[in-house]
Amino acid sequence: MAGDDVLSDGSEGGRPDEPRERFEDVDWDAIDADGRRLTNTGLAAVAAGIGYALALAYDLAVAGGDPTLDAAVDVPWRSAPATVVWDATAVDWLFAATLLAGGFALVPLARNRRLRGYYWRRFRRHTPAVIGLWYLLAIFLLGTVGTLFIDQPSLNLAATYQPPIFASVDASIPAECVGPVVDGRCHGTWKYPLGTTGEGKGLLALAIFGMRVSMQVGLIATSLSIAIATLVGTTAAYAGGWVDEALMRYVDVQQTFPTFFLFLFLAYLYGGSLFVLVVIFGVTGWGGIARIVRSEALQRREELYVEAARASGASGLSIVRRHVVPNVSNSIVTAATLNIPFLVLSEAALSFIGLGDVTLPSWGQTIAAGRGDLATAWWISTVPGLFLFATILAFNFLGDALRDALDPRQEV
Amino acid sequence: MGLKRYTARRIAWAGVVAGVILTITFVLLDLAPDAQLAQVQFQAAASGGSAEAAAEAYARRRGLEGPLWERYLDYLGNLATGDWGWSDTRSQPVSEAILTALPYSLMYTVPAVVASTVLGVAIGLYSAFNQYTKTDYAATFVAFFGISVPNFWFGIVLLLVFAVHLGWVPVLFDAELARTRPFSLANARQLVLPVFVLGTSAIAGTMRYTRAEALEYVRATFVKTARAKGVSERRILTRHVLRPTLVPLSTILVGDLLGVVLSASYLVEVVFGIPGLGRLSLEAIRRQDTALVLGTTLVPVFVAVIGNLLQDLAYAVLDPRIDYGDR
Amino acid sequence: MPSGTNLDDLGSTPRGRSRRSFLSLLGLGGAASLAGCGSSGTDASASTEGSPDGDGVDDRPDYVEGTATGTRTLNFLSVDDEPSLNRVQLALDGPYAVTPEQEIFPLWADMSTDEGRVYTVELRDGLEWGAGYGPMTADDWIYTITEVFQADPNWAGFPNAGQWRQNGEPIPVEKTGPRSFEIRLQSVDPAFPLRPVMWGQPCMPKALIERYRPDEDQEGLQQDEDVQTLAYAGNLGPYRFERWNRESEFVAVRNDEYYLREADDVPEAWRDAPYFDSYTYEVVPEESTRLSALRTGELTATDVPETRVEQFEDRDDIDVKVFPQAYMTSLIYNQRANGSFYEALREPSVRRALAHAVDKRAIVDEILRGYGNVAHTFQPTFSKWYADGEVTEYGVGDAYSHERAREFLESGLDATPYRYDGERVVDDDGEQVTLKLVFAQGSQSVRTTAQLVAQEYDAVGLDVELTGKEYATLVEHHLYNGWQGDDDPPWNAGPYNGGPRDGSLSQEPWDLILGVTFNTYPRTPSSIRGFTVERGGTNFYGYVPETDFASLFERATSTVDDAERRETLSEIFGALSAEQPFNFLNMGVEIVGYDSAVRGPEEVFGYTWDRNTWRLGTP
Repeated sequence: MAGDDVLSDGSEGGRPDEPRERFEDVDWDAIDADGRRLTNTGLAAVAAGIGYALALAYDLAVAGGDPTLDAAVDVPWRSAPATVVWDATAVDWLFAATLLAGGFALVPLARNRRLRGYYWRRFRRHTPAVIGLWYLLAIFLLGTVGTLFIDQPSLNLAATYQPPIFASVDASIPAECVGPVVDGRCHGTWKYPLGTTGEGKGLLALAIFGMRVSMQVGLIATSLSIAIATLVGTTAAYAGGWVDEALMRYVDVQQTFPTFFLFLFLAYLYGGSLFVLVVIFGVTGWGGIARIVRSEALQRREELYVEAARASGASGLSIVRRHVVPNVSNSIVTAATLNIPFLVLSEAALSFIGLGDVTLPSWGQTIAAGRGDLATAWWISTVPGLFLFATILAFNFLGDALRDALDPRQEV
Repeated sequence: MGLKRYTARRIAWAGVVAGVILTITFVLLDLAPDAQLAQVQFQAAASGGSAEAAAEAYARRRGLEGPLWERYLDYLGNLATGDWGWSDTRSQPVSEAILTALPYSLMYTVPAVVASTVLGVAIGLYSAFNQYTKTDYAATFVAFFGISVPNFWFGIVLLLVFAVHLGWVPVLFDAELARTRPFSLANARQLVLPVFVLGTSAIAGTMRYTRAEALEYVRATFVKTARAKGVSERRILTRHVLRPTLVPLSTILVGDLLGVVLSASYLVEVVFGIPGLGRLSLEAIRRQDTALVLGTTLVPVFVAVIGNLLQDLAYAVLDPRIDYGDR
Repeated sequence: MPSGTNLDDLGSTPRGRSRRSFLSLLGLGGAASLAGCGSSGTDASASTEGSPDGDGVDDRPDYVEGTATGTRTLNFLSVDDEPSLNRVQLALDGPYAVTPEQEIFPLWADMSTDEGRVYTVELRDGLEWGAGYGPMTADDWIYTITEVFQADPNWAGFPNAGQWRQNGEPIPVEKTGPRSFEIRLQSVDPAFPLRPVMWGQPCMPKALIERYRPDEDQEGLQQDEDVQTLAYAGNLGPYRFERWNRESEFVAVRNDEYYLREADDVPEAWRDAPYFDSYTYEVVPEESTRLSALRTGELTATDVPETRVEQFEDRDDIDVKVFPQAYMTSLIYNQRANGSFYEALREPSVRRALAHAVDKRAIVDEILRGYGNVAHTFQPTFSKWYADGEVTEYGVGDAYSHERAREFLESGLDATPYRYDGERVVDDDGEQVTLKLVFAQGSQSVRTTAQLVAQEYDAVGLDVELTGKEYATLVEHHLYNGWQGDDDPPWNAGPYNGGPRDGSLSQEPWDLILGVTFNTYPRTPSSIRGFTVERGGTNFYGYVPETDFASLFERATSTVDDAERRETLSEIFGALSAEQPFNFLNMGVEIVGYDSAVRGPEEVFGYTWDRNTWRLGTP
């Protein structure tokens, strides 16, 4: 499709023997119409959106309290059909929406091979970040896809406090030892490669489900924040004047407001559910990003191409959407990447204080539940702690590398 | 002068922000269900009395009568005269509760902030000048370690290792010792671990910022000149790059750092048993001690707002490129 | 017909977070109890801040007890939860203590009676208030009782006001001498000294209360300096207040003027009490830190969770003691009309069927690691009123079987809109029945038990959805219930029972609750009446009994013949076990780790009565 070049007059360079078009000959209506025509990507996005809305409506209206998906699939290597029972929660729907939106937002970048290659080359210089990227992708896949295939860990009184493979613990700690007991020490088995908690839940399964929760918390809240921040930041920068002043003052107040208190308050009223957590973080955490967006947008506003676009009659909204936003997206991406680890850690911290949802299989909950046993059954808190640590570390490296790769200030 | 007016405007604005947040908090607290009232009503009913009369007596007692705005104005009036209310759950005036908890908080946050700033700047500068080398990664890893490891887990593990197994520091925090002899060696001993845990988590922010700033100067002309003149790398760092880097750094020091510290502090305080501001505000919200919640909400608000103000002022004063004269 | 008992006791409590009088919950008094989740720490060795010379009997080190939460106030007239009473009773003994054999041990006073209706309280000589309030006289008691405990309106917010009334009328108290007064009950009640009325209840000087009573100034009382520093305690307790660093430590030092020094009717051990220079409550919110401090000797005693007992038992320097408790954990069924299974849960046959589904042994042996006792009715087995002759057991042995549970459930559901559709229980729309189980957050064992119940019910065809809530929120959303119609309710028994079960509903729907523990009153079992009758003050679950418990309790309390009382109570316990108003799961125990040098605590119910005589002995 014609792509995003506003100033394209429809001809790529023109043919030498044709009379050159003059400025007055440019048919703006046609171009405007062109611009408003739906691209393939746009079409796909709309289709996905409709599909999503239909599925959501189905879950709300038709399925109601029942599981959204309840299917039995015959699997060759198993005697009984594998059942998939999935009751989509509000958070799941938000997550799906986030993934769809994120996917479609990245399409322009994916199609621009030159830009993609350029960024990748600059990013690749930062080795730990590359490792971090692969790690995060692995976690993402495991968390979203992997959790569909394994059962959520459940209580198993016969297998509590099992040590991880290659480790052993004094035999008095677990109620029963699944593995061999040698010299009064219970040894780990491959059945529970990372050990089990005090409720007999395998730590490997808990870690994988924790990946999903962390992804949900990080991505949903961040995309909410990004959406609001971009809207507010660009509006403030482009509109200027009292709109700018009012918005920034509001951001001031919001950033000073103790978010934690708000969450505590809502947790007492409605219980500390994941949904409440995600929404609060998303809706209150956009202040910093909005400031960054605004300052970047202010700089972009003075750029020549924006002047030209404005001079040729493009509407404010169109300029913001097609010029300003893509050009500040670098800063947004960097800020977002650095926002996610903060959210994941906050979820863990809230679990520690006892405010989170105790039935949620998140890393934070597992660490909090196992912290009393650190002296004896150290693996319960340490295994999810290591996953948490690695994930946050990866995000931090990633964020820094992205800033180095994307940030034009680095250009000398 | 432009700066004076700017300062005055910012202070006024700080007051407005504090006021808005206070109002919102007050309203929210009013909306929260009152567990104690229900308890009182039950007792009245159980003893054969009238639940309504008991509710009225309770409301009268706790000053909960009257419309919301009336109570709010009362509260504001008291606030201005220094009467911040009485904390039911601590049995002491709110101001006293905050003032007793404050020293404990300062005792471990100030050293942590100082240490993390120094280390953060050092690592940031080094990292900027030695980008993409192995030592850069290692140093960055050290900085990121603190921000990535969950504080509470780290604290418990350190306690187990250093206090239980090695016995180098005490397990319990002796508040009386901290209060009466804050600068003694014994107090330092019991503060080592909390300072370490908090400090490591704050390094990364400073480091990152320093590195970003310093990177601007890495390939700057004056640095090239200095190098051409044969100045050693270390001297370049300390004599030429440090100062311009510190200028914007000073602006984030108070504001952002204290924010990070205040939010992470309650975790540290719970693990180590320090009766500081973090625990104070957390427990106040938990127990719905209205007066104390309002008081403890004001403190970080003031800190943040004043911090922002100092930040902007410092920026204006230190960086000659910025001029608030025509604002 | 007056029955001489308090009808509307709320005996429920979360483990350790009692909002009601801890006395009414534990039935304990006298020297403060270390019971509950507030972990108690014992400070073992004299290596901490002990006295300078460390040899022999004169060495009186410090006792440091570790707890999870601090106290809100020392004003026991307005607040009497466990933490505050624990601290207050270091400086104020209370009238008398009760031995594990249920005999009165006079402290401030001796209480005696002729036929059990009129009780005479005689104060000791030589009891002196501090801060210039003079000697303790009967006047102080009469004033406190009539102007605070029985005041209407309850200006001070005294939490135990219900205990001082019978049938809505205040219990008459009359002064009979400068240091004696009489309590005149409406009918005979031989168990009165064991009730949380006088037992363990201190009073305040008349002159102090007088400052605030005329204006009903509760705030003034609360903020009074003397009240907040226990300045008026004088020689009335083994320790005196030293300092209170909020949320950090409460320190009381040895009181050299302790009145028992002069007493001649107490054993030797009491006269030299206490045997510690100071008693400290150390607030340490994080459990792992508390246990670490116990290991290093910085705490003398603290609660130990079940999973860590083995590691502490192995150590030479720590003694772990297990004390029986009267708290019962039960799975409570919602029989009010806002559940999603209530029609079935109202049928005793359905409840009996469900009782077959949950493995009580597994809960005690595997979740509680053996630290608990399986319960089958509303009384612990160590109670002297317990008789297992009529008690039916469910959930153990043969009576634990999923097949039989299904069988009984199937037949029990006949009269209800629910039925079995293949393996699952469905309602009349064919929709799978999902029960909502709400459990109290904060206790690992409660959470694990909830998951076990969910699994067991799933095996029988019922879907269970788990929700964890903070205790206060749980009470707010599910225990309090109110009449839903616009008119007045036909009857109202308090916020926990706002009317008949079809019309008085809680704020949020629920089907099962776990984590609200009930006191089983082993000393005064008639107090459990409120749980068993339709208009009971604590019947928040909407149980309507088939047995006539009201008249059975009437019979039990109005007789003086022990044998007859035991027989009637046995009938009551048997009927309860058969009707299963809720699923009796297990009785709890309290596990405390002490420094091995501590001598004194005995593993009996009510072990803290002689706390003052505990000491460090040679290991």
